Amino acid sequence: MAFVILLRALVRLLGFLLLVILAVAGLALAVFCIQGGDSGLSLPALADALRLQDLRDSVDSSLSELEDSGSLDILALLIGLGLIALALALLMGVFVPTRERLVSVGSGDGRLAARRRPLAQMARALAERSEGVTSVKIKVKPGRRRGGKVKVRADHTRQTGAGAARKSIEHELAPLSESFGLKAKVRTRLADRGSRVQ
Amino acid sequence: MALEAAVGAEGVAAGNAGPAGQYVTDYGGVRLAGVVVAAQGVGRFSVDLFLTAELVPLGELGERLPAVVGDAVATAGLGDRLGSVSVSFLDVEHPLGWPS
Repeated sequence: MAFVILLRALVRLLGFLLLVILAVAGLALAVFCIQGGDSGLSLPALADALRLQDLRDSVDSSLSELEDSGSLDILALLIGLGLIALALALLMGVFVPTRERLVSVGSGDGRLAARRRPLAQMARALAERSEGVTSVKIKVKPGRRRGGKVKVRADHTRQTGAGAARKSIEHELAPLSESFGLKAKVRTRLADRGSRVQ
Repeated sequence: MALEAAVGAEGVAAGNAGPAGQYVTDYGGVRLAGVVVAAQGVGRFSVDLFLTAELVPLGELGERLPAVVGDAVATAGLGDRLGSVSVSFLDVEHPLGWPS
Protein backbone atom coordinates (compact mmCIF):
# COMPACT_ATOMS: atom_id res chain seq x y z
CA MET A 1 0.00 0.00 0.00
CA ALA A 2 2.83 2.42 0.87
CA PHE A 3 4.49 1.51 -2.44
CA VAL A 4 1.32 2.46 -4.34
CA ILE A 5 1.12 5.77 -2.46
CA LEU A 6 4.75 6.45 -3.48
CA LEU A 7 4.00 5.55 -7.11
CA ARG A 8 0.97 7.84 -7.10
CA ALA A 9 3.13 10.71 -5.83
CA LEU A 10 5.68 9.97 -8.58
CA VAL A 11 2.91 9.97 -11.21
CA ARG A 12 1.69 13.36 -9.96
CA LEU A 13 5.22 14.81 -9.98
CA LEU A 14 5.95 13.52 -13.49
CA GLY A 15 2.55 14.71 -14.70
CA PHE A 16 3.25 18.19 -13.32
CA LEU A 17 6.75 18.31 -14.88
CA LEU A 18 5.38 17.17 -18.26
CA LEU A 19 2.71 19.89 -18.15
CA VAL A 20 5.36 22.54 -17.37
CA ILE A 21 7.52 21.30 -20.27
CA LEU A 22 4.46 21.28 -22.57
CA ALA A 23 3.56 24.84 -21.55
CA VAL A 24 7.12 26.14 -22.12
CA ALA A 25 7.33 24.32 -25.48
CA GLY A 26 3.95 25.75 -26.54
CA LEU A 27 5.00 29.26 -25.53
CA ALA A 28 8.31 28.98 -27.45
CA LEU A 29 6.47 27.66 -30.52
CA ALA A 30 3.97 30.52 -30.37
CA VAL A 31 6.72 33.15 -30.00
CA PHE A 32 8.74 31.70 -32.90
CA CYS A 33 5.68 31.76 -35.16
CA ILE A 34 5.60 35.59 -35.06
CA GLN A 35 7.93 36.06 -38.03
CA GLY A 36 8.33 34.26 -41.34
CA GLY A 37 11.55 33.50 -43.22
CA ASP A 38 14.63 31.74 -41.82
CA SER A 39 15.78 34.25 -39.21
CA GLY A 40 14.51 36.19 -36.21
CA LEU A 41 11.40 34.75 -34.52
CA SER A 42 10.75 32.07 -37.12
CA LEU A 43 10.35 28.28 -36.85
CA PRO A 44 13.59 27.52 -38.80
CA ALA A 45 15.45 29.82 -36.34
CA LEU A 46 13.93 27.85 -33.43
CA ALA A 47 15.06 24.58 -35.03
CA ASP A 48 18.57 26.05 -35.38
CA ALA A 49 18.58 27.26 -31.78
CA LEU A 50 17.58 23.81 -30.52
CA ARG A 51 20.12 22.15 -32.87
CA LEU A 52 17.43 19.78 -34.14
CA GLN A 53 19.58 18.92 -37.18
CA ASP A 54 22.42 17.71 -34.93
CA LEU A 55 19.98 15.80 -32.73
CA ARG A 56 18.50 14.03 -35.75
CA ASP A 57 21.95 13.06 -37.00
CA SER A 58 23.00 11.81 -33.60
CA VAL A 59 19.85 9.67 -33.14
CA ASP A 60 20.17 8.39 -36.69
CA SER A 61 23.78 7.28 -36.17
CA SER A 62 22.94 5.68 -32.78
CA LEU A 63 20.08 3.65 -34.28
CA SER A 64 22.26 2.64 -37.24
CA GLU A 65 24.99 1.43 -34.88
CA LEU A 66 22.42 -0.53 -32.90
CA GLU A 67 21.12 -2.20 -36.08
CA ASP A 68 24.57 -2.96 -37.49
CA SER A 69 26.13 -4.33 -34.31
CA GLY A 70 24.54 -7.75 -34.98
CA SER A 71 25.02 -9.20 -31.51
CA LEU A 72 22.63 -8.44 -28.68
CA ASP A 73 23.25 -5.02 -27.14
CA ILE A 74 22.84 -5.75 -23.45
CA LEU A 75 22.81 -2.09 -22.43
CA ALA A 76 20.06 -1.17 -24.88
CA LEU A 77 18.07 -4.24 -23.81
CA LEU A 78 18.38 -3.35 -20.13
CA ILE A 79 17.36 0.26 -20.78
CA GLY A 80 14.34 -0.94 -22.77
CA LEU A 81 13.28 -3.39 -20.05
CA GLY A 82 13.81 -0.71 -17.40
CA LEU A 83 11.58 1.71 -19.28
CA ILE A 84 8.87 -0.96 -19.61
CA ALA A 85 9.07 -1.63 -15.86
CA LEU A 86 8.87 2.11 -15.11
CA ALA A 87 5.85 2.50 -17.39
CA LEU A 88 4.09 -0.45 -15.70
CA ALA A 89 4.88 0.98 -12.25
CA LEU A 90 3.47 4.38 -13.27
CA LEU A 91 0.33 2.69 -14.63
CA MET A 92 0.01 0.94 -11.25
CA GLY A 93 0.27 4.32 -9.56
CA VAL A 94 -2.61 5.59 -11.71
CA PHE A 95 -4.98 2.63 -11.52
CA VAL A 96 -4.34 0.77 -8.24
CA PRO A 97 -6.42 2.38 -5.49
CA THR A 98 -4.46 3.63 -2.48
CA ARG A 99 -7.27 2.83 -0.11
CA GLU A 100 -8.38 -0.70 0.47
CA ARG A 101 -12.07 -1.20 -0.16
CA LEU A 102 -13.87 -1.97 3.07
CA VAL A 103 -17.13 -3.79 3.61
CA SER A 104 -19.32 -1.02 4.95
CA VAL A 105 -22.89 -0.32 5.96
CA GLY A 106 -24.64 2.89 6.89
CA SER A 107 -23.95 6.46 5.84
CA GLY A 108 -24.64 10.01 6.97
CA ASP A 109 -24.49 10.00 10.76
CA GLY A 110 -22.05 7.14 10.95
CA ARG A 111 -20.68 4.16 9.19
CA LEU A 112 -19.75 0.68 10.27
CA ALA A 113 -17.00 -0.92 8.21
CA ALA A 114 -14.47 -3.70 8.30
CA ARG A 115 -11.57 -5.00 6.25
CA ARG A 116 -12.00 -8.25 4.40
CA ARG A 117 -9.50 -10.16 6.52
CA PRO A 118 -11.11 -9.75 9.96
CA LEU A 119 -14.52 -10.44 8.45
CA ALA A 120 -13.22 -13.61 6.80
CA GLN A 121 -11.57 -14.67 10.08
CA MET A 122 -14.78 -14.09 12.02
CA ALA A 123 -16.86 -15.83 9.36
CA ARG A 124 -14.52 -18.81 9.46
CA ALA A 125 -14.67 -18.98 13.26
CA LEU A 126 -18.49 -18.91 13.09
CA ALA A 127 -18.82 -21.37 10.22
CA GLU A 128 -16.52 -23.89 11.89
CA ARG A 129 -19.00 -24.07 14.77
CA SER A 130 -21.59 -25.52 12.39
CA GLU A 131 -22.63 -29.10 12.99
CA GLY A 132 -20.92 -31.72 10.83
CA VAL A 133 -18.52 -29.31 9.11
CA THR A 134 -14.90 -30.48 8.90
CA SER A 135 -13.21 -27.57 7.14
CA VAL A 136 -14.15 -24.13 5.83
CA LYS A 137 -12.69 -21.70 3.31
CA ILE A 138 -13.97 -18.13 3.26
CA LYS A 139 -13.72 -15.30 0.77
CA VAL A 140 -15.18 -11.86 1.46
CA LYS A 141 -15.78 -9.44 -1.39
CA PRO A 142 -16.86 -5.85 -0.66
CA GLY A 143 -19.80 -4.48 -2.62
CA ARG A 144 -19.39 -1.37 -4.77
CA ARG A 145 -21.32 0.89 -2.40
CA ARG A 146 -22.32 -1.10 0.68
CA GLY A 147 -22.32 -4.61 2.04
CA GLY A 148 -20.75 -7.36 0.02
CA LYS A 149 -20.58 -11.10 -0.45
CA VAL A 150 -19.18 -13.84 1.71
CA LYS A 151 -18.38 -17.02 -0.19
CA VAL A 152 -18.08 -20.14 1.91
CA ARG A 153 -16.74 -23.45 0.73
CA ALA A 154 -17.22 -26.12 3.37
CA ASP A 155 -16.58 -29.85 3.70
CA HIS A 156 -19.21 -31.82 5.61
CA THR A 157 -19.30 -35.29 7.12
CA ARG A 158 -21.23 -38.18 5.58
CA GLN A 159 -23.65 -38.14 8.54
CA THR A 160 -24.58 -34.50 7.87
CA GLY A 161 -26.29 -33.88 4.54
CA ALA A 162 -25.20 -31.06 2.23
CA GLY A 163 -28.45 -29.15 2.79
CA ALA A 164 -28.24 -29.44 6.56
CA ALA A 165 -24.61 -28.29 6.55
CA ARG A 166 -25.44 -25.30 4.34
CA LYS A 167 -28.37 -24.29 6.57
CA SER A 168 -26.27 -24.67 9.69
CA ILE A 169 -23.48 -22.49 8.25
CA GLU A 170 -25.96 -19.83 7.08
CA HIS A 171 -27.50 -19.84 10.55
CA GLU A 172 -24.12 -19.40 12.24
CA LEU A 173 -23.10 -16.62 9.84
CA ALA A 174 -26.39 -14.73 10.18
CA PRO A 175 -25.31 -12.28 12.94
CA LEU A 176 -22.20 -11.25 10.98
CA SER A 177 -23.80 -11.14 7.53
CA GLU A 178 -26.81 -9.16 8.78
CA SER A 179 -24.62 -6.62 10.60
CA PHE A 180 -22.41 -5.94 7.58
CA GLY A 181 -24.95 -6.46 4.80
CA LEU A 182 -23.13 -9.53 3.54
CA LYS A 183 -24.86 -11.96 1.21
CA ALA A 184 -23.73 -15.47 2.09
CA LYS A 185 -23.14 -17.99 -0.67
CA VAL A 186 -22.39 -21.42 0.75
CA ARG A 187 -21.07 -24.34 -1.27
CA THR A 188 -20.60 -27.69 0.39
CA ARG A 189 -18.96 -30.95 -0.54
CA LEU A 190 -18.44 -34.29 1.12
CA ALA A 191 -15.25 -34.34 3.18
CA ASP A 192 -12.45 -36.76 2.36
CA ARG A 193 -12.21 -39.94 4.40
CA GLY A 194 -10.47 -39.34 7.69
CA SER A 195 -11.54 -35.69 7.99
CA ARG A 196 -12.81 -34.81 11.42
CA VAL A 197 -15.07 -32.13 12.81
CA GLN A 198 -12.90 -29.42 14.39
CA MET B 1 -10.90 11.34 24.06
CA ALA B 2 -12.94 9.45 21.44
CA LEU B 3 -10.14 6.95 20.91
CA GLU B 4 -9.64 6.50 24.65
CA ALA B 5 -13.34 5.83 25.12
CA ALA B 6 -13.45 3.39 22.21
CA VAL B 7 -10.32 1.48 23.26
CA GLY B 8 -11.66 1.30 26.80
CA ALA B 9 -14.86 -0.35 25.60
CA GLU B 10 -15.25 -4.08 26.05
CA GLY B 11 -14.34 -5.95 22.87
CA VAL B 12 -11.89 -3.40 21.51
CA ALA B 13 -8.21 -4.40 21.61
CA ALA B 14 -6.52 -1.23 20.31
CA GLY B 15 -6.52 1.57 17.79
CA ASN B 16 -5.13 0.57 14.40
CA ALA B 17 -3.15 3.00 12.22
CA GLY B 18 -3.90 0.97 9.06
CA PRO B 19 -1.62 -0.96 6.72
CA ALA B 20 0.23 2.20 5.58
CA GLY B 21 -0.09 4.07 8.87
CA GLN B 22 -2.56 6.49 7.32
CA TYR B 23 -5.19 6.52 10.06
CA VAL B 24 -3.46 8.70 12.64
CA THR B 25 -3.97 12.10 14.23
CA ASP B 26 -1.18 14.19 15.72
CA TYR B 27 -2.48 15.88 18.84
CA GLY B 28 -0.20 17.96 21.04
CA GLY B 29 2.87 16.12 19.79
CA VAL B 30 1.30 12.72 20.45
CA ARG B 31 0.57 10.36 17.57
CA LEU B 32 -2.89 8.84 18.05
CA ALA B 33 -3.14 5.65 16.02
CA GLY B 34 -6.61 4.70 14.86
CA VAL B 35 -8.52 7.97 14.90
CA VAL B 36 -9.10 10.63 12.25
CA VAL B 37 -11.02 13.77 13.17
CA ALA B 38 -12.24 16.15 10.48
CA ALA B 39 -14.28 19.35 10.44
CA GLN B 40 -17.81 18.63 9.30
CA GLY B 41 -19.17 22.16 9.17
CA VAL B 42 -21.41 24.15 11.54
CA GLY B 43 -18.85 23.72 14.33
CA ARG B 44 -19.02 19.93 14.38
CA PHE B 45 -16.29 17.36 13.89
CA SER B 46 -16.62 13.87 12.51
CA VAL B 47 -14.72 11.07 14.21
CA ASP B 48 -13.53 8.04 12.26
CA LEU B 49 -12.26 5.21 14.42
CA PHE B 50 -10.05 2.41 13.03
CA LEU B 51 -9.78 -0.43 15.48
CA THR B 52 -8.48 -3.88 16.21
CA ALA B 53 -11.27 -5.84 17.87
CA GLU B 54 -11.23 -8.83 20.13
CA LEU B 55 -13.03 -11.99 19.12
CA VAL B 56 -16.54 -10.63 19.75
CA PRO B 57 -19.61 -10.04 17.54
CA LEU B 58 -18.41 -7.13 15.41
CA GLY B 59 -21.86 -5.90 14.42
CA GLU B 60 -23.02 -5.40 18.00
CA LEU B 61 -19.71 -3.82 18.97
CA GLY B 62 -19.82 -1.45 16.00
CA GLU B 63 -23.34 -0.36 16.88
CA ARG B 64 -22.40 0.18 20.54
CA LEU B 65 -19.24 2.23 20.00
CA PRO B 66 -20.75 5.49 18.63
CA ALA B 67 -22.86 5.72 21.80
CA VAL B 68 -19.79 5.05 23.98
CA VAL B 69 -17.87 7.81 22.20
CA GLY B 70 -20.89 10.13 22.35
CA ASP B 71 -21.21 9.64 26.11
CA ALA B 72 -17.49 10.32 26.69
CA VAL B 73 -17.57 13.48 24.58
CA ALA B 74 -20.77 14.69 26.25
CA THR B 75 -19.27 14.08 29.70
CA ALA B 76 -16.35 16.30 28.69
CA GLY B 77 -18.86 19.02 27.76
CA LEU B 78 -18.22 18.81 24.02
CA GLY B 79 -21.36 16.97 22.99
CA ASP B 80 -22.51 19.79 20.71
CA ARG B 81 -19.22 19.60 18.76
CA LEU B 82 -19.49 15.91 17.88
CA GLY B 83 -20.62 15.08 14.35
CA SER B 84 -20.83 11.63 12.81
CA VAL B 85 -18.93 8.71 14.34
CA SER B 86 -17.75 5.95 12.01
CA VAL B 87 -16.25 2.68 13.12
CA SER B 88 -13.99 0.50 10.96
CA PHE B 89 -12.56 -2.81 12.11
CA LEU B 90 -9.18 -3.37 10.50
CA ASP B 91 -8.19 -6.47 12.40
CA VAL B 92 -9.45 -9.00 14.90
CA GLU B 93 -7.32 -10.56 17.61
CA HIS B 94 -7.70 -14.25 18.35
CA PRO B 95 -6.73 -15.21 21.91
CA LEU B 96 -4.90 -18.29 20.60
CA GLY B 97 -3.80 -16.87 17.25
CA TRP B 98 -5.67 -17.49 14.00
CA PRO B 99 -5.24 -20.92 12.44
CA SER B 100 -3.64 -20.65 9.02
